[in-house]
Formats: sequence, structure tokens, C-alpha cells
Amino acid sequence: MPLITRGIAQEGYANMKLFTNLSRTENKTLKQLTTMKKTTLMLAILGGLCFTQGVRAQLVDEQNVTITMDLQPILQLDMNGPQNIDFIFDDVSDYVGGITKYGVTQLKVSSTVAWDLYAVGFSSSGTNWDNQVIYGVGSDPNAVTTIPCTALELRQDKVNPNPNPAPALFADYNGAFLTSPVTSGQNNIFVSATPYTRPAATEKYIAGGTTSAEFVAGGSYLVTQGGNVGAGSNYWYTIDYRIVPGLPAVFPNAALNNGTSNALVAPQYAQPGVYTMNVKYVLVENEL
Amino acid sequence: MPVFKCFLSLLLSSLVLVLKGQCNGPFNGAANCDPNLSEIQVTGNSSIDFNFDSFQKINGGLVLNGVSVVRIKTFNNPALSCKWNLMMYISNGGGATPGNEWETLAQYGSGAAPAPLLDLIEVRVSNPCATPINNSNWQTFTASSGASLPIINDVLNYNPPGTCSGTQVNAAGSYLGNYGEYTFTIDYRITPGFVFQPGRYNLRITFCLSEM
Repeated sequence: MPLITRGIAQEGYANMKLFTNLSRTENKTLKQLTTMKKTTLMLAILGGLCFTQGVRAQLVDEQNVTITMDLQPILQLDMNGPQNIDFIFDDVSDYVGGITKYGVTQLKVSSTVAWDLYAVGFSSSGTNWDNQVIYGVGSDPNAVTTIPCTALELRQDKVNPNPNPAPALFADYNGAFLTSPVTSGQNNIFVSATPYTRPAATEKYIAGGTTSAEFVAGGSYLVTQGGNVGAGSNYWYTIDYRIVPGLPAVFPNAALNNGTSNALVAPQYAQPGVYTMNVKYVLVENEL
Repeated sequence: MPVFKCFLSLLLSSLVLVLKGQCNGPFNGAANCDPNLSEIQVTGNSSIDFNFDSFQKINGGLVLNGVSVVRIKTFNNPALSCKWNLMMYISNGGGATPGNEWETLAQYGSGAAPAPLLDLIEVRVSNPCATPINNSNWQTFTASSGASLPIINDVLNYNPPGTCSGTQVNAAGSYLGNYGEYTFTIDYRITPGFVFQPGRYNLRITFCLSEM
């Protein structure tokens, strides 16, 4: 037994000695072998996984279509009626009672966006009619050519569906023409030398108003909107015109939208002649 | 380092599976179809423009007929029976876009109207053998990115081709041999009306072929 024990011990010692000798000489090689074994094992696992995935893969394939929609904003205002509207005052009764032209202009709206519609009167000289020619000698200093554009009155056939709230005196031109003289400003056109500046909250719109809260939703007179279509809808307005020169011709009805009289002050009166002004109907997208 | 690369490979392969999540089929474990030979093709322009530049178009809508034609080829794995389904998925690109709206590329004007919803677009699928679900009928997606509409999705039955009888053919086959049962014509229709904010909008429709 002691011999055997010693032998084993000697053998063990020898082995340890051998290992010790190897560690010293080939330790690096052994580490590399160990790393290679681990790598091989990992690759085998990975390969197995990939193989399993390949074998069990389901059919999945796809194709894509991209769809782009370009929605362009369209504000379309169709105006029926003459481009030039003549008021010829050649009779005293015309001066006193004025001339009214009914249903001369039809305004038809088609819009893809919420909108406002307003009328603005102006001339090349600003807010007075342009005098093209005078009749007579024109030597009377009281005969003036500065007739305010507010002398023109409008009436629209239906109310503004979503007008400016108070303090607007009149939200639209829907009121009936009153017996002249009338100085309230009820039907007088909104006048501005800068026609593309929208009316203020105290001034008139045909439809809609100043802020984003007052507008008419996108739509058209061509299709039913709220049960109405065509001339019965909020997308169609018929406009009447009236001018009352008065006698003497001071245009007594002329007034700003806030009711301030704009009439000529006697002894001044309008010089006979030819006068022109521009009425612009502006359809504009509702603003934020 | 090699171990790290292995884990990276595994991670990437998992990520690919996740990214294809919208088009991943029922995943019931079946592998009866040959994924290498089977394929879906979409002919026609992959970018479809609806250009609404007049009131008439916006009010009346635009129809683009036959813009996309989907063709299917499916093959059995040896000694197995391949069964498939075909779906459409709608997507708005995600990100900051609300889940029910088209992706806004540009806004025109200064209004505050809403962007169009995903249920605005209509699709109509048809083929000569009337195999699609709702063949030749206009359909809309639910207004939600990721919503789907089935074209072929017969869970219960295995329908081989060749009869051209209006059943949902979902077995292995090809448009080369059975054109009327493996080809699908897609029509698109949009009728915007006056509700939405003018602008340029975008969405994606994915045609997904999956094994059942």
C-alpha cells in the first residue's frame, strides 16, 4: 500500500510536473484551443437556429403602393350680370327718388375652404367717385366733384349666415332699401382705398365676418348644402343697387358703415357730369 | 468578439422579424409554402398621385381604375399543401401623425380645417374569377394606421385553383397558369368634398401575402 500510494503520488506528481511544464511552454496555444472550441460551439448553436428558422419559415411577402393626394384650395366666384352698371339721372324724379336696379348681379360661390365674401367700393382716387367729365361750365364753387363712394347702396337677397357679432351696426346688406333720405348706413357699401384689406368687425360682409369664428363652410351652390341648392343656398347672392342723388344732389343717404353721414354739406352739391367707381366682390379664405 | 457578432446576428434577425410585423401572416407554425419560389408582384406605378386641382374633382372625386395589379405565385414545399391569404394594410408613416389621419406633407392656405382621415380612400378589388372578398365592391379601411382589409382570407377551406367559380382560391398556384384566380386588379377612389384642409397628403398601402 505505501508503495502504491507513493507510486500514485509519484505519478501524480509527475503529471502535475508535466502539466506545469506544458503551461509554461504552451499555455498560449491551449487558450487558443479553448476559445476555438467555444466559438465552434456557438457557431453550431447559431447554425442550428438558422437552420431551424429556414426549415420552419412561413411564406411572407409584401409589396407597397404609396398614394399621394394633392388637395388644392379652390375659391371660385362666378358673377353673372353686366360688368358696367349705368345710372343715368336725366329726370328730376330720378334725382329725388333715386334709381334702383334689382337683381343686377348674381354672385355664385364654390369653395373647398371656409370663406368670407365682401363688397368694397373704391376708385382710382380713393374713396370718392372718379369724375370723368363735367357738364356745364363748372364755375360754381359749390358744385363739387367729390362724391363719396358710400352714395352707392346695395341690398343682398338673403342674410349673412354667420355675420360679425356686435358691435357691428349692420352685419350685411340684407335690409330693405328705406325711403330716402336715410342716414343710418344700413345699405351703404363698405368703402376702402385698400380693397384687399378685409372689412373690420364693425363693417359689412355679404357672408362671413372678420374673425375665424365667422365664415361659411366650404361648399358650392351646385350641390345641396343644408337642404338648399342653387339660388336658395348660402352660396348664391343676388345684389340690388340704388343711388339717390337728392335735390340738390348732396347724396343724402351716403354714410359710412358705422352710420356716420357722408353726404355733401349744403350749399355744396354734386357737379353734373360722368362719374365712375369700382365695386369689387372679394371671396377670401376664412382667416385664423 | 466572435460571440458578440453571433449575438448581434441574432438580434438583427429578430429585429427584421419585428419590422415585418405588419405583414407577418397568421404565424400558426405551418411551413407548407416555399418562401423562396413564392412571391407577390405589384405592377403599375408604385407612387399614385391624386391631384385635386378643380372644384369638379374635389366635389365629384377621382377614380383611378386598374392602377395596381397584384399577381401571386405560391408553391408547395415538397409533399405539403400550401395555403395562403392576401391582405391590404394601410399606414400613415407613424411619427407625429395622428393615427387616424393621412400624413401631412404640406398645408396650403391658412385655414384650420382638419387633415383627411384614412377612411377617405376607397379601394375596389376584382379579378376575372371573382375570387376576392367583396369582389368589385368599393371598400374603406378603418381610420387607423395599420388597419387591414382582406382580399383572400378563407380560414376554414382549402380552395385549389381551376374552377373559376368565385370561391377564394388560396392553394398553391400561379398567375401564369391561372390568371383569373391569382391576379387582382385594384381601383382607387377619393372624394374629398369640402371638409378637409387643402394640402399634400400621403399614405401607404401594403399588399401582404402570408401563409396560413
